[in-house]
Amino acid sequence: MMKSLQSFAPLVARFRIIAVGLTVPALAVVANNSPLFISTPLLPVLNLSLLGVLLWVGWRMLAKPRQALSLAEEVAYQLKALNSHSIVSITDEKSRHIFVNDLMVRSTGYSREELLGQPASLLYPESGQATYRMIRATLASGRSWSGETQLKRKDGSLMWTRATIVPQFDAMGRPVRAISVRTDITEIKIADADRNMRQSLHQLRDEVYMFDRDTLRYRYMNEKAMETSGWNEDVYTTKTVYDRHGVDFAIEFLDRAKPLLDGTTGELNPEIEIKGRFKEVNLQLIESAGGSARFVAIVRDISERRALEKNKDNFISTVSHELRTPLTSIKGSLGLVLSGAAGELNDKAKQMLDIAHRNTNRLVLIINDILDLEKIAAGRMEFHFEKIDMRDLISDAVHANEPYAQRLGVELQCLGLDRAVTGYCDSDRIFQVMNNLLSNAAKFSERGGKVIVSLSESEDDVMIRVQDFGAGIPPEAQPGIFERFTQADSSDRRAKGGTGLGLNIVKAIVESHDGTVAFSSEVGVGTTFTVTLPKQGRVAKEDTEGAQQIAAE
Amino acid sequence: MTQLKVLQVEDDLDIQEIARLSLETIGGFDVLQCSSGAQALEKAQDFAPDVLLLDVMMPEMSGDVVLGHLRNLDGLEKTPAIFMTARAQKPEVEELKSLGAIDVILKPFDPMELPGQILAALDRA
Repeated sequence: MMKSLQSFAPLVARFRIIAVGLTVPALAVVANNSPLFISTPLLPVLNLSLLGVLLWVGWRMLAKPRQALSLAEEVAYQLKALNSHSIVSITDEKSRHIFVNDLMVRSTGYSREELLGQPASLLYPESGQATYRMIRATLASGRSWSGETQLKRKDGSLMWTRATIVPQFDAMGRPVRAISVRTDITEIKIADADRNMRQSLHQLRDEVYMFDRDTLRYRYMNEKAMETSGWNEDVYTTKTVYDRHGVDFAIEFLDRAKPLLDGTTGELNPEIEIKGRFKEVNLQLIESAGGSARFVAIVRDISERRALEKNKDNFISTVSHELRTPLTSIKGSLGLVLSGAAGELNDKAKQMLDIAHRNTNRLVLIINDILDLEKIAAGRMEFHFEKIDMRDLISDAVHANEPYAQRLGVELQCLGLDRAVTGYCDSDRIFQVMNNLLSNAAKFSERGGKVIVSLSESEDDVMIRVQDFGAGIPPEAQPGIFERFTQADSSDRRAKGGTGLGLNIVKAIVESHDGTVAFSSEVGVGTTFTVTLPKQGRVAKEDTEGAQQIAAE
Repeated sequence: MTQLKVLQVEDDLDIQEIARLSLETIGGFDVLQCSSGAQALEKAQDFAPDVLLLDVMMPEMSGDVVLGHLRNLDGLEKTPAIFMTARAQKPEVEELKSLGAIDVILKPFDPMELPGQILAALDRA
């Protein structure tokens, strides 16, 4: 009813005005021409009153349609406010857009024509299709849906919205339409994520810094960084790396950061010392959306770790010193007595002292081996890699073992030393390896036998073979050959000397070179050990993780 | 032939005994032994050694510090020095050599070889 009134209201209003306008003069004419006309002074008053009454009645009748009009204006006014704030769309029973407001058009980047008639699912990204289906199901069951959804713009970018979607039904209860009212919360989401990240960073024990690539001005410091620098957010945003550490530091920083700046590398991990504290830095350069680039530095204080490592070092050093000092006296005095420096010895005495002297030598070797293994296990064995002519190393090792081999009546032969072979290794440690293999080979050879050492190379590797023709390693002993104190041949080993640690160390050293050591053996025929060392080798590292593992096994 | 004069600074008395036997009996050297750096600084100038044999790990004053002080004494500025140490890791050996020693002899040493090692080091220098 209101609706029909609304449409005719303007016409009715005009009619009434005209009606009123005509009535008054009409009455006046009638009154003038009627026999009842009384020429009294009251007539004008009567006319005016009548006019007044008629006008009042007319006014009231006009007022009614005017009320109906302001309600429409009211709704239009509210709609305008809604449309300025919210993204509004209406879909039909098939979920196709039948109305989209201006903000929807602006936010999604589609034109009105592109949206109308299209299903609402067009605006949901792949990841949001399940949510979309859930929304439709909720609406179909007669309920409104409220929640957060992601919408995909025409250009493919995503936005977060908070939406309330209300269904409408016909008299039969069938879904007819749904109206969606959304707010763009993308900015809030970003701010939230940002805040979460900042909160997480604040909890880190490491210092986190972000500063401009060009000006080195600080953009961000986490709690730990603010604590260390003594600057809060108001202060650090006005400071640069120059202010914090001085010009010299900044210049050196920029110099060391060159590989990041020119794109050679994505990440640097320098270790620096600041005010007596040792720090490990992870440094990266990131490009942010606005095109401004920033350094991100995560700084970890490793002073304690360093101190601990130094203590470990000291411990190993101290233990070695403490063990070797008394051994010096034992070995020294026995050696002197045996040399006759304290006078002539009878045979029995000599025999006993010989045993003692031999075993102090063994003790020294065992201590050396244990300390080597301790170093490897603690990751403290230092390797000094260099390019060398392997021939020198081989001939040195053979030369060093010749006296020993001679005593056992074993001949040492060399092959492949005619051409230069360049390898990349720690010569002292590989010498140690050769020593071990050669002494083993001689030890397990028969008197009158020989040991052949051969050097060869492939494109990538250098190979050293030590072959003996002795007893060979029994099959049951072979699996554990590189382990410590293998019992397989212990009686033999003890008789022939040896610490039981040699091959374990050999393997650890070779593998620290990224190389391999292997053997083949047959009882009654002999044994061949092959050491393969890559020519490229690894860049000299201070620690030995791979060797650590073997030593720990 | 004049005897080679060796000034040894070593805090372990047992090692001193063995070294003395080695250096005097086998090496035929003239040996003065001091148990500490302080003692050595007192007696070194009068003895006027040809070579210094210094233990490294000593309480109060380590061998490298002793060397530094000895070098300040008249007549000892250029006396060849040899360190003796059980601390045998390569970087430590290198460091000792860089302090001006002509050689580093590792412990345990062979008393039969010690005199020869000293002479060889002097030859090389």
